[in-house]
Amino acid sequence: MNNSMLYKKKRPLVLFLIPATLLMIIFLYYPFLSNFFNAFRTYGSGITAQATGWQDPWFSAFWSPSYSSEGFYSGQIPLLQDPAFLAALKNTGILVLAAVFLQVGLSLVLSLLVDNVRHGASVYRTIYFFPIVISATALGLFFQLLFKDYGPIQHYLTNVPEGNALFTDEKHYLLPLLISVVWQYVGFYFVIIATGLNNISADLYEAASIDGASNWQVVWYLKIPLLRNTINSCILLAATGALKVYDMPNALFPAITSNTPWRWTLGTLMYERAYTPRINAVSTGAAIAVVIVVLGILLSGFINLVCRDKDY
Amino acid sequence: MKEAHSASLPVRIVSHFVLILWSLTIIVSLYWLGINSFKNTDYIRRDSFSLPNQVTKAGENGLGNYELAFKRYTPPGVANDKKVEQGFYKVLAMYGRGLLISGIVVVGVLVLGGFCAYGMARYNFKGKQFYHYFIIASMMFPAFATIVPVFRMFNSANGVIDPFVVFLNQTFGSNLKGLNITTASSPTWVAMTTVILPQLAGNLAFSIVIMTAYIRGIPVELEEAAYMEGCSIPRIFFRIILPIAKPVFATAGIFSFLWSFNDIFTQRFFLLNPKSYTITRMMMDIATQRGVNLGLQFASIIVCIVPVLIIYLIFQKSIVRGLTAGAVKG
Repeated sequence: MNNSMLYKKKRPLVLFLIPATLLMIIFLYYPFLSNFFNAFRTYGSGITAQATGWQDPWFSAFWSPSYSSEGFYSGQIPLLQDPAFLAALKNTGILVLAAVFLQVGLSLVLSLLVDNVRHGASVYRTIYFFPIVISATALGLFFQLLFKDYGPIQHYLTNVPEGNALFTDEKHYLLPLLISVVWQYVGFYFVIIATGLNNISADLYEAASIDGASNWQVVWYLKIPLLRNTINSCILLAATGALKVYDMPNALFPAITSNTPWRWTLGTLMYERAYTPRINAVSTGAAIAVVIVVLGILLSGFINLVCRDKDY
Repeated sequence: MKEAHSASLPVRIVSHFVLILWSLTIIVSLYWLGINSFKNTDYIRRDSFSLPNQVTKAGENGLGNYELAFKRYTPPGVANDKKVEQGFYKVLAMYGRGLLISGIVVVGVLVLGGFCAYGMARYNFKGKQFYHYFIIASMMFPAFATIVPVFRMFNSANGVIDPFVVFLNQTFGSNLKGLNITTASSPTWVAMTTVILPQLAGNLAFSIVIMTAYIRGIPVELEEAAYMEGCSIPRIFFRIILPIAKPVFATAGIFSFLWSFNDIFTQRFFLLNPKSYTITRMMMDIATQRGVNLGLQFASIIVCIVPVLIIYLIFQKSIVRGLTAGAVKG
């Protein structure tokens, strides 16, 4: 493309690329590969334990034929036989669905509405973005305070007896989690989609109005088809983002015990399994991370397949 | 802006109505956080929606919660209040550490990422396409999949030999022992460094991608003219590219800042000593403590979010620009 003579000599280029490349190799590529292998190794107790060999059979961190849930088991619980992991998988799956349909859906509705108004669009954008810049940990505490037994929501639901932790039990725990995660990120996709709408050329609207298209027809046959690629990238971002959510569940459900395994998500469980000093902590944590990565790849592949981009 | 498709009045009114409704969920939340930060626990339990009307002594209503928050933020495990009052855990110091960590991450991302983006935008070299994929792929690595090996890398001295160190020793005949630095007794600057390095590496890729696209759009003639005048390549970067590409550097910087400042996952792994806590890390402890002072919790949320909101309001435009750039790139 540009063959400017001043960029013929390559020596400065090396200096430009090396620091960033080294950092990425040492702190991203090397640990990433190392983590992958760790999932198939055996370890002593704790996160800094030394590798003692390879799992036998090699997929033991995920599923082991010799594992039995009866009686005391001191070793590593294979992921697929671990109720906490299955609960985490289910919760994360629900979060991903909520992210795709509620986060992106709500932000699509709101941005279509903001396209109608003449004034105040930038004010809405500013306000909607507030929850995203705030740390999810602080917001998690906010939702805890909102939903706790003395919080206003329970207070005004009169049929709930005082002191009953309604929103942390097995039936209702998901509600605060879904509301908080969806609520926090709507503004993010709102800004992206609203900008996409702004970029639609005025000529098209003119043509539509000459043809006598109604408001609904403009939305349905013009705006949404033209937004398709933007919505696709939002869906992709929302789904992979929900898969990796950590801060909010971490702050919402601080103390999860073996009695309340239904509150785990993949992220929080990964931290707990890697950090708690147990046999094979490293390989269990690594296995959960591998699951997150594989699910991320499958999800993006699936989304790309279902919502294929179109060129207009 | 676009007169051609301005909607009818009823449509606009309904639109405003719904948009205001969603805005209210955010504004009322902030308002609710604000008013309750001035009340004591009993008051909040009794009535969390009225304006605080009793201003009494410290530790109760009024500014008492803030006084408490700033004076003695108690991390768990430090039950002895007097110990805490010595001043180590003061909020200002935690702001300072948080800002320092994120500030260094931002500077690192802008300088190193800027160099890399400049090289990518201007030079042709063998394997450039491959290098491009190298950067894009690294954006897909979640922190979950890298953090434990990084943690072990920082703690490979106690008999745990990092395969990387083993490889170096075997290949180069060196006698490296590995580090042992992520412990509760590590000095604060070491703990901060262990947070900075992974965060820096993790934020590089996004910044490089958006900066490369921007620098590529700058006409090369100016640089050629400067080169003719005897300007060296690094000088061209600092004197020409940096000023022209300021908007994209602002975007990359503000995003790196927010990601780093709010990233509790890395901080939770590497900030083990309460003396090295940042405000976000402390927020997590407040959120996970049980049966504590409710007013203090409200006040600490406000303390935690106000500086970030101010930074957001200042750099709003850069954030919006970066978002759309990032989304277009995918």
